[in-house]
Amino acid sequence: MINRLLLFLLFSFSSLVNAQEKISLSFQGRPAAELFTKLEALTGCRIFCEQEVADSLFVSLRGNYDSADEVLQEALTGSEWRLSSVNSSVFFITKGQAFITSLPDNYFQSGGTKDSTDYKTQASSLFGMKKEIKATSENRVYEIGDPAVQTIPQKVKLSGIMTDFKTGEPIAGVAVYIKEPMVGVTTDAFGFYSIELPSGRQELEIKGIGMKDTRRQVLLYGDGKLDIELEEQIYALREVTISSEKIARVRGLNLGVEQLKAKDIKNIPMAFGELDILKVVTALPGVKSVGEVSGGFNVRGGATDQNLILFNDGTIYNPTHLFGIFSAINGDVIKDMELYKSSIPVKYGGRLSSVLDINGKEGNKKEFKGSASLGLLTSRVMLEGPLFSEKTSFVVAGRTTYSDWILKKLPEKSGYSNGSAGFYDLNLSVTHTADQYNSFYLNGYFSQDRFKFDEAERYGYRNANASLKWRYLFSQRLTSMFTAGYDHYSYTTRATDNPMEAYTLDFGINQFFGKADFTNYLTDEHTLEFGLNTLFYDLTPGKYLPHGDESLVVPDIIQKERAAETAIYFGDRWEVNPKLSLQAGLRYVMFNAIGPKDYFLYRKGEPIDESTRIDSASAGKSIYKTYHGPEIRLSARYAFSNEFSAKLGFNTLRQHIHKLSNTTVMSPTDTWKLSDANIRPQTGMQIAGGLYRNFDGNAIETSIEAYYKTMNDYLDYKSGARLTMNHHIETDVIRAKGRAYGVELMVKKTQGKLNGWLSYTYSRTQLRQKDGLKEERVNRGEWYAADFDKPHDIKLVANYKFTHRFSFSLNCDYSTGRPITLPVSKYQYAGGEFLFYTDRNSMRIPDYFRMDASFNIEPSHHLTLLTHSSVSIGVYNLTGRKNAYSVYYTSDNGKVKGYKLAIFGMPIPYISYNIKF
Amino acid sequence: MRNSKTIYILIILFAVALIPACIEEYTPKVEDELSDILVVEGAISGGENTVIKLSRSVELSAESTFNPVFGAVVYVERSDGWTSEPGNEAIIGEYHIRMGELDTSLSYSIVIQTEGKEYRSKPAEPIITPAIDSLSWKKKGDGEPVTIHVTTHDTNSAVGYYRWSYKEDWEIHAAYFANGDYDFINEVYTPYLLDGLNTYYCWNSDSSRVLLLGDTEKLSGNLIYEKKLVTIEATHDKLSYLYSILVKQWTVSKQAYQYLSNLQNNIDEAGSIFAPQPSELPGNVTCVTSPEEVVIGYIDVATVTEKRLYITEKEAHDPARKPEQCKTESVEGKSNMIKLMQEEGLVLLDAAPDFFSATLTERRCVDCKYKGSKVKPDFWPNNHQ
Repeated sequence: MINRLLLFLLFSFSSLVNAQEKISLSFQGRPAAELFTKLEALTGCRIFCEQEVADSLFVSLRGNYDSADEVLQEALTGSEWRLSSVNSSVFFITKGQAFITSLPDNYFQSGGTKDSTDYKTQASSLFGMKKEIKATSENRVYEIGDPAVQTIPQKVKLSGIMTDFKTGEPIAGVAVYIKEPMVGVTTDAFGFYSIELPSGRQELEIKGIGMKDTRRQVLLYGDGKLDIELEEQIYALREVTISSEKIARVRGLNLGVEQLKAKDIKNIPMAFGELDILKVVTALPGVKSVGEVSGGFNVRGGATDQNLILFNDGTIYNPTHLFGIFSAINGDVIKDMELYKSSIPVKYGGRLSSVLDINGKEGNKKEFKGSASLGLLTSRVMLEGPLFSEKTSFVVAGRTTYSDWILKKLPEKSGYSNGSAGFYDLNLSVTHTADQYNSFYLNGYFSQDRFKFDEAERYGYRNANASLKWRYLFSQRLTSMFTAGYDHYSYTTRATDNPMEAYTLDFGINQFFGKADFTNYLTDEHTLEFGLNTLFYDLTPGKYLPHGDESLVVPDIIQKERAAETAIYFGDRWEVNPKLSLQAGLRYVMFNAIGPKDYFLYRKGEPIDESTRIDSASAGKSIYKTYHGPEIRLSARYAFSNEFSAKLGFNTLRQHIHKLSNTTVMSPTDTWKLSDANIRPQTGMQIAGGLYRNFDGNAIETSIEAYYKTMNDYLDYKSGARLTMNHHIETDVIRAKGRAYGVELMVKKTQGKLNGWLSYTYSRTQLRQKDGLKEERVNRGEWYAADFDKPHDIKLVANYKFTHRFSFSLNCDYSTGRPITLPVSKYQYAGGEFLFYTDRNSMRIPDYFRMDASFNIEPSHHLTLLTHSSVSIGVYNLTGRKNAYSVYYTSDNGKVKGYKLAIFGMPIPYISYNIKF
Repeated sequence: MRNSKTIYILIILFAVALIPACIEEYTPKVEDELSDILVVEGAISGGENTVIKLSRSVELSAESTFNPVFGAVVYVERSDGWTSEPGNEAIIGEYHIRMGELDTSLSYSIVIQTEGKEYRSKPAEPIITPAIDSLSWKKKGDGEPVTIHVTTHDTNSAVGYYRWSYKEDWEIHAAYFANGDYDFINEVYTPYLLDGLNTYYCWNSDSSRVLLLGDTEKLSGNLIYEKKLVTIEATHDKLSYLYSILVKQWTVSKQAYQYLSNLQNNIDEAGSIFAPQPSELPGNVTCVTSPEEVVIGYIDVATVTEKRLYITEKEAHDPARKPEQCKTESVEGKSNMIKLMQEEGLVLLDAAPDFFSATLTERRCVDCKYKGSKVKPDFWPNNHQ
């Protein structure tokens, strides 16, 4: 780009070089920059090069030379730099290939950018080139397209990439718009934007989260490309946040979308001082978790398995470490994340409730950087930087725990001092930008958890993901993405307590996927999205094997489950007029259960039960059951003004993989099950509407969203169900209907010293079993509350900045207690006391309230410092309220008693230290 | 399953290092508490072995769960129309039914009539319970508890579901054998000798308080090998002289097994982080006169087998067991003796004729009734009285 700009400068140059005198030089290991300056002074020639040459090339020369050409030829001998010259008075030093210094005839038609400002001021300094461009870019008018074209079109297409000036990383979510008429777009995850604008002189407003607001002036003659470098806004992150979120929240088409940048979540106080994105997710309106130690979360009344958690395109089946204490994704490598609660983009599918799309950061393309963090329980390290050249960058990060010391400290009597627990996770991502059309992304992720109580009982689970993505720009209007990858989740349990019954239990999911996604910026009004997704599941539902020679355990292996899930989709975003936009999408999903598989047949028209089993069938290595159906995505937005809009949405979804769990939280021994001949896919529908209003120059955002949802074939379990190692799981689960509805109110302040959000949610989630044997129906077939039905919910996240370096954060959370099943009577049996339970989830635990606070000290901003450290000191559960995790009865020597369990029942102070280098 | 409970303990421990996670006793407010649900317990086992216990449930807040149903008519009905005599309520709420041996080709059910209502269990064919192969006990070392294990097998069925219950009896001795007792208020001396009036030999008993269940579903054969039933702490009184345990074994149907293990899980695992929610399964007893009425319990039809095991103090000796510390005082003259008895509450250990001299000690050291009773089990294998 720069080269090209320079090329234009060149044509105005007159060649006035005195080439007669000998040039006498003596350089010994000096930077090339010095040589160039000297040469320019001596000969009056002009030398253009990339900053890199000037900095990295060192030259040794001695003698008398005839021309500047000769000097430069010698200086560059043996280096990768090539010399080109015009009239032996203007020189270009480029990498790899020499310039062809004459232009092709049609050069200007190809969409170059022309700088029309006075070249003389531009060229006055050679090595401050970049500075110059940055300094003047806002005031300069860029010409796009060929001014000599016969007829200038009414509308032209402008596209390009937004990158960070410092790191070269592409920046997502940057708003590019013009004010009159109001036309705007935001950059995609790769920093790419494409906007259709009226031709002629336009002023582009550019606002990005955490970036300095800027403008570009363009004179549009035809379609063209304009790449823009943005500067990071170091001090006042929030002030910029609103600018683009104004676009996102009021102007955006999607309902129920929550977007968070890594920077936004850094200051939220967390238990043990760990940056934990899943905990942040649960601080958002409409998201609930069952309790403090639970990795799963519930979105708008959906179950924990109805969230598609994507990390760099890979599906994460168990997003937690240590059974829910920490999230399994290292906060250091996250760029941003989006949670879709309602309008799920048509390119995603496969889960009923939500999509949590977590994007890892791309490596710094310009220099090596790193960070390290020391916490009480874990440590993290992250390194990033260019690889070979500025075109390639990498990020590598690791995290581990040293929690064993805690277990060791326990008194021997407790029986757990022999236990040990640990986890680690690793991330690697490599980004390669081959040229402006081709980019490649390689991502890898691995996490491992292990735990043992003593030698006799061990647990372990692991996630692994790998994916390769190729992004290809067919044209400025058509971008494409091709992704292939592999996801893995498995766990192992081993018990050797009684050698005769010693066993190993294994479960695993392997999944291979391929995706082709296209975006076509067809016209100003229409943006099309279409593509094909395919996914192959390979599940090992359970392997129960004897462990050791003495074990009498019969090896029991549940037959593998395989299936293919294929979807094609097409969506159109239609800007009818500046006020009204519509979005419609159709996704057609086909699910094929693939053999070999033996399965049972049940009497038709009767509930599936062991008593209604009639026969069994055996399928060969072929498709034995197919489910297919459309998913519809519709949304509309009407903007009454730039500050006020209304949105409406409707969508339907299908889900073919189900988690089997009769615990309320995500447990490490939960298994997953594919739909098959007897288990139907879950289907769901959601209608939502919302009003969005910004006040006080967009400093305050308010919104109200309401939704109504239904679910069919939701899997709940029968009383006394056995979910592990069950060869006919269909007889232990029930097909429930679900309904959920709610209203979410949110006030968000994004500007000023005080920022944060306050939200209130009213929501209900209920289930109902309509099939099944009449006498066994849960709560007699009436509606009952789901485990995570917590009607009232108030959340406050606030941050107050005293100065740029010191800030205070407060986090409050109140909700109605979750429903539980409590006994209603007790009696004597077999010599002891037992309990009689009636309706499932008919009672509630006490209400939940927690307040956390933290004080954050940001690093000093002296850029000369080698390392920058930040410290966070905080208290989790400041009021020390003993929030009930559960309330239950157990028997103690034949006597039943009621108990309340609180997990973090007192204030937990923490300190964490982060260092950046 | 041990898994869930242990994991949750771990999580608490994780927190414990820095902060105590806490479990506290708590009585949740439960609206619509129920009481007076009929509870039916027992098995149709043939011969003299059919015992049906009837009781009713109580409110959660009630102090005791003892709420027997007395005066009911309880009898066994066979599929060919034969019925047994109504059971004899030997102990309140316990109905003993005498009948012939079970006929495996017919099915049996229990019929209960009480308070104007009739209840019936689902008819079932008898299951023959195999004999207990062995009862064994283990002690890993000094200070370690004694554990008692059952081993059984059945070649008649591929998978076995078992239930056990046990009754323990043990003999306890006072620290000293007192020659007699002196009632200083009435000034009466009673010599003990060995005639059963002594307070040296006592017995105590206990029985299982949980459902002891085992299955071989996951094993290659119908063999239960050394399944642990009881744990006795190393220095417990039970092992102070002679201990006996009588284990009863029933084979149960799969449905009954599921019902019973669900009951046990509900009180064992509830509340832990990964525990399944408690739930109620229907039993196999229904009210004929009002079918909507809930009845708790499962009546299986199965024979019963039993085995007894003795453990002596010598066999399970533990060095941590120390003799009781007792204060003894010698005194001369009857009046001094009475004075000491009044002032310090001591009792007679030994005395010369006419109390010329006497040795006194604390009552707990000569009276075993502090720890047991004088009721000697009729099968007890020694002549202590």
